[in-house]
Amino acid sequence: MTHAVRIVRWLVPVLLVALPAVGLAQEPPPPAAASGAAEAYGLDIRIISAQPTPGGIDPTLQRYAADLKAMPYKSFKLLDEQSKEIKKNETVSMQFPGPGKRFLSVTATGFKGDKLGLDLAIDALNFKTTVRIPSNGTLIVGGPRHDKGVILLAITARNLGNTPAR
Amino acid sequence: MGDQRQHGFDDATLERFLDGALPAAQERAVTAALERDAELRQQVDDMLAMRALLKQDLDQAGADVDWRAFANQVVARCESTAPLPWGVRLRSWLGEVFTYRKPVWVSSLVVAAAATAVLLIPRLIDQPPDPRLADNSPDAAVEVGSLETSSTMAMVYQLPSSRTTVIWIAEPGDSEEPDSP
Repeated sequence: MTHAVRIVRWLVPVLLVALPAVGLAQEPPPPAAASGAAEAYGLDIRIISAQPTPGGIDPTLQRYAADLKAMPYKSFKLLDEQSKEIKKNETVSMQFPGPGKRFLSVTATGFKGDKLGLDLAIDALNFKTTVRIPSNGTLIVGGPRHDKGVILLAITARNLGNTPAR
Repeated sequence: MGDQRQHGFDDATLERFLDGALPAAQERAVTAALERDAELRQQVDDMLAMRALLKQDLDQAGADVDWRAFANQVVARCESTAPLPWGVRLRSWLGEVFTYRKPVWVSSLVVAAAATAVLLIPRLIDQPPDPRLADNSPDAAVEVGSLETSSTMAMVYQLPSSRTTVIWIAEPGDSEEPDSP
């Protein structure tokens, strides 16, 4: 038996032992926030028209159905939406209906604990707020007038890759 | 022993003496006996003569054989044999490995299983539950840190799902305000 064959025959069992051990010994990579790596969030922004006239809930808004039913309006229609991956300090803006040009701007400010920090502003309404949203949590900003009802701005944040999807 | 003579050494012992394979003490005893025992010397001489005859016959027989032809035939036979299929060779190799290396494989598997258990079980046990998985935990809620608005009224409330928070702002001139759930 040649040396090479002997080595291979001993190496196979050794690898059988070593590979799982090495694989398991690998610590899971730390969250992006802890490691300082570029943080990426998924942001879903939906502009919803809420009206007092009967009309039900737009099928595309089913994930918000329970929350929308708790509001004093009878129809909810999706007017616009944007899903985007943004990084820390990046800003996303969306125009929504109303007198003049109204924009919602959302700026990611980074992880704060296990929540995603966001700065929201609607300049036309002198509105500014700072919020922390857990992954898959939603903030609804409501109140700007639209027709006989109001506009709802639903902002859902997702921590891409660092938070188990629900 | 039937072939044991008066000198006390049987044929097998003498054969080993001639081969130089006896222990030193026994060899010295045979040598001393040869010096004083003529019958023993004669017996050993006969054995040597028999060996010489045998060697002569074997040498003669070997010389009569054409070994080059024999070697060529063996080589030709080997070359004419088709190599075994890969499957057969693999089965043969695996069979050999598992037969002769069985302890290595068994111990390797045991060690691998133990290493897996040692490294994996604590990780599974220590894994903290994700607080965000519980909708009613405080961590599941959206936190509003600061709020600035020129609105005459602003309200922050949480909806039943606990994962949705509402900031309600009334535009100037709004006469009607929504009911908070």
